[in-house]
Amino acid sequence: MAVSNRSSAPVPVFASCGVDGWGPVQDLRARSEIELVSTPRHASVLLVAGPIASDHHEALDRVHDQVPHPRTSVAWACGGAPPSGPWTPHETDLDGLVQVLIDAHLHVVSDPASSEPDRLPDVVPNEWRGVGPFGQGGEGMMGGVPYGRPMAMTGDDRDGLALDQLHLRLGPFLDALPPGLVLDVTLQGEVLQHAELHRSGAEGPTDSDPSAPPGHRSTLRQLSWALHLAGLDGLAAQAARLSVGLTESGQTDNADLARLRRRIRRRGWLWTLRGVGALDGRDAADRWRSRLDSLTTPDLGGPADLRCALDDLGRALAGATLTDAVAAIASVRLAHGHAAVVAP
Amino acid sequence: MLSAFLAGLAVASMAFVLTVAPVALARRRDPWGSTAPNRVPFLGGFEPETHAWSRFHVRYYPMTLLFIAFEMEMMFMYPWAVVYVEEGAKALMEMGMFLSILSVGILYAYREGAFRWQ
Repeated sequence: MAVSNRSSAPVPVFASCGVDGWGPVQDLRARSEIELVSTPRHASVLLVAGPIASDHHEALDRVHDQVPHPRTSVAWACGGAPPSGPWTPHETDLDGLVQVLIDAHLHVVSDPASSEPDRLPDVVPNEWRGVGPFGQGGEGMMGGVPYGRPMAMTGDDRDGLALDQLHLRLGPFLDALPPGLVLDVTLQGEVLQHAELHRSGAEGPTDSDPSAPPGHRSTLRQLSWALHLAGLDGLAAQAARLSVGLTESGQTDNADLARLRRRIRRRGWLWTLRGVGALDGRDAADRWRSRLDSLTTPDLGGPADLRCALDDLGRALAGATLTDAVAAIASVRLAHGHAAVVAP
Repeated sequence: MLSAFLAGLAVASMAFVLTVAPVALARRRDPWGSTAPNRVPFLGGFEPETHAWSRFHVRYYPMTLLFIAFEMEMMFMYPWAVVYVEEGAKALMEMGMFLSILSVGILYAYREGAFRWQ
């Protein structure tokens, strides 16, 4: 089978980012040779960007094993060394990284025997042997702890339906969450009954000045990510291209920004965010609108930054649907520090 | 008749081959197999802590049962309505007995709370 040097289909890459690597990885949305996919199941290459907190290393191994064969992985050192693993770290710029990803993908596709083995042991987490000490095998469908995991049981909810409660820990490498953030939710149907947000226990790099307004580049990167989460991948690519094309002084062509803003308005994205994630009287649509204004007219004084703790944000998310909660988290700018959230 | 049997046999064997052969070939040519870490559902890095089986209400179910039962009663009343005028009071009494037997079912459903909205 002849494999050409130019891959015409985009290479599916799943990016597991640390806090430092997340921003540069969003610039990859500008490149049509790479497709940043939302789950490792769709990916052929796992990209590990930047240093990862030490208590998330096992989660990273688990994500690596969830990429289907033939798989390979690439590490990108931006802002620090990535954790050790079967990958070799590369310290290149964006163009170099794209070429490394394409080469890795073509190599593993042409030689599937070089696909990477599992990093975690092949052990079923909870064996089932007859009627066990946790009640598995004897309880039937109503409760009990089959395979060592509890069954969902009912609980009261706002509509009086008493649906089953599902407890999920949405981990740090989910595409829909900012880097390093873990979301513990209790879901009934799709309504969040209870949400808790955690950062990693290990001390991450502290922001130089968390109260300083974000630069154009980081705003455009966050905008590109939020547009991808909304399903608007074409607009996400356009925002990423603007982020990559920023000049040294951080200026970009206002005509391009105005065009992007017009396309966003025509798609109605801000309209879908009405009433989502209300914090201090401003919802996600207000926050994004003020960010887009600050891009086009930098002298405009925006509203004062709101600081709230992660616990308060978790409490504010209770009662929303899961998709609204994800959109609300995407509209908030998280400081690098431990507990503070800064919005807008 | 033999040709019809052979045709059926040919179709059945082709169906069998076309379903079993790809699965067998795929299994034989799979170099990696499926391991436990590969099968963990993707939640962003952690293992799931509870089962994802959630029960949902099927609130239309008792309504549907009642509807079907009395729809069948209506089916019996359609031909009765055609001949009722000719037959007179005897037909009326017979249909009344039929309906009273079925109304025992309504009484049972009422006692079981099937007519309560919540």
